[in-house]
Amino acid sequence: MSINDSRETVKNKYIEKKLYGRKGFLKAAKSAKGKWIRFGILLTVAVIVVAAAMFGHVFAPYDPVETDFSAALTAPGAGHICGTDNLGRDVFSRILCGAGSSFSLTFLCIAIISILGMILGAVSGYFGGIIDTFIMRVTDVLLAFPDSVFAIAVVGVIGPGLLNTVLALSVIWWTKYARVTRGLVSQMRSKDYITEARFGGAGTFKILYKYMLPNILPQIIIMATVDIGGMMLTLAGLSFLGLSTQPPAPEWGYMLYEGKSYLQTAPWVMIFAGLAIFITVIVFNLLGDSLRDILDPKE
Amino acid sequence: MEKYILKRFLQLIIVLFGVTLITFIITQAAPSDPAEMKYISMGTIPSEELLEQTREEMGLNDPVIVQYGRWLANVFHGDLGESSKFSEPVLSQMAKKLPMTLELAGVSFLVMIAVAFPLGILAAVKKNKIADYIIRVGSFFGISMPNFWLGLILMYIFAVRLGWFNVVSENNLSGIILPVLTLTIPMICGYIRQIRTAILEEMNSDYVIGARSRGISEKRILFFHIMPNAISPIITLMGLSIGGLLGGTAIVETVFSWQGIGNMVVEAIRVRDYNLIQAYVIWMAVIYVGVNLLADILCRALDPRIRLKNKSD
Repeated sequence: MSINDSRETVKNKYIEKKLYGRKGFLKAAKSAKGKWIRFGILLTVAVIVVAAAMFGHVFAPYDPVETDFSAALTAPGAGHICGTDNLGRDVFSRILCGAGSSFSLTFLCIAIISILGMILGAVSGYFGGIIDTFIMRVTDVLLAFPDSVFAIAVVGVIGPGLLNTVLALSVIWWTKYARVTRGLVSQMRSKDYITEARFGGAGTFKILYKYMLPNILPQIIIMATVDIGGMMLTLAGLSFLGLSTQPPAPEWGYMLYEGKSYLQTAPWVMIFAGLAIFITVIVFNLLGDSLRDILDPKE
Repeated sequence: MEKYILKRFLQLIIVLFGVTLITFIITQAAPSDPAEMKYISMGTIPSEELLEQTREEMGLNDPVIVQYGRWLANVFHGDLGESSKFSEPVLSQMAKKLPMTLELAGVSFLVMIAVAFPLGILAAVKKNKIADYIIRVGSFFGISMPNFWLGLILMYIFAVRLGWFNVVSENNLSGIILPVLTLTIPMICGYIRQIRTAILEEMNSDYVIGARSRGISEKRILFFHIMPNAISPIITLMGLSIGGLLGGTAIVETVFSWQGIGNMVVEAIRVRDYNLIQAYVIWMAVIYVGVNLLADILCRALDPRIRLKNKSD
């Protein structure tokens, strides 16, 4: 026993040395406190970005849909920080105002898929049997479609539009959440505290809501946060294909679509709109990573 | 092994059946009337009686189940209807455009493996050293980059500014470079991270410490002990990446005017050519599912642990 113990200690020390041996410049983030500090900073940045998106129209120096042909395709300069597009609309104002719609769509999608996935996964894992088989076969079939191919097809058939894009992506993305929830629920089902809760007279709904949900939620929150960046990219990609927003309302992906035609004469239209997406996605990806660092015991 | 392959094939057939069902349902949700569309595409506005007659001829008045059965039978014969945009069978359109997309996706896949593997391994081996930080930070930026933006930026720098390539990509060696870069850079970055994680997980195993204590060289441990163990999750990930590649081609083909099916489907959506859209979805799903089946079989062939663990099947 003591030999095993010492062997274990040596091994752990060895692993620890391997993991944290070198004084890296990111070492602060390895400690629990460092992780929280990093998370706090990133959360603040994310909140600022979201606030800027929601109140973007207040700060916008110009009207985002007002056309001014005399100023069309002006290069970035003193009057227009990011230049103007082919209709003389201020790109900077359009980016600020477009943020609102890009963000709300992303969050709407994430909310729909995580809640839908959680409910279907919980039902599937808790009740088992034929419901479980049915839901899992549906996820199997949906997983056979590459995400964006499915979304392109759905939007293509029911017609372009903001809500149609959201619908298309929601139909295909919930499966991941359902599978994770199902796994967690079916593991938990045989745990003692659930059996005891049932003995104590708790109904199905109460068990799911009161005893299982708190155990599922952290996982789902991690997944949802990690997914924000990817969802934003996918949505922007669809509107880049001209499948979501109807002009003239600004939206980032669509601005790139418009900017594409003026690549040679006015590259700033697409550069700044893309930069806005890029920076936002970086912020949310960092936030997701750091949240996973804190909550996920595996790492 | 044969039994496993057979079982997976049966599963595949069920999944493909579901794929056709869902594709059919999506098309049923279309707001427009196919009979009317037929005349509009021919440039005439039909009378109500003519419409009713055409609907009867096209079988649109039959129960949905009957329509699905008939459609499915046609699909099995490879007949996906006529494209209203190109006024020729969908199949011949697909036959023309699919090779271009497969070429793009295939080359991208090879480039992805060729770059992601060495960098992922390097990052894992040099964990927490400068090389690892550079690769990790670089790949982080890469996965956050929208590929359509990357495509436009590359096009602006290399085609518009430097004039090294044509703005419209041709099907030759220099024409494929920019589309492949656009498609692969974000994916490479994603896979570097995953390969790194897969290898690091193995590195902490007991057998690695054992091998080290026996004095086996680090190189040998990496290539003969760690790699065979880390390879099966990586193959699975590679199989899944095909989905991203196939979906990504739509955007990349649009940016570079590459004449593949991604470009075709975006056109088809504009003119509401439902048969083409249907064909696109079914083909993509079939390719994706097929590749993933191959990946699973390959994993099983390469990794005896999976075979032993599920010996029952």
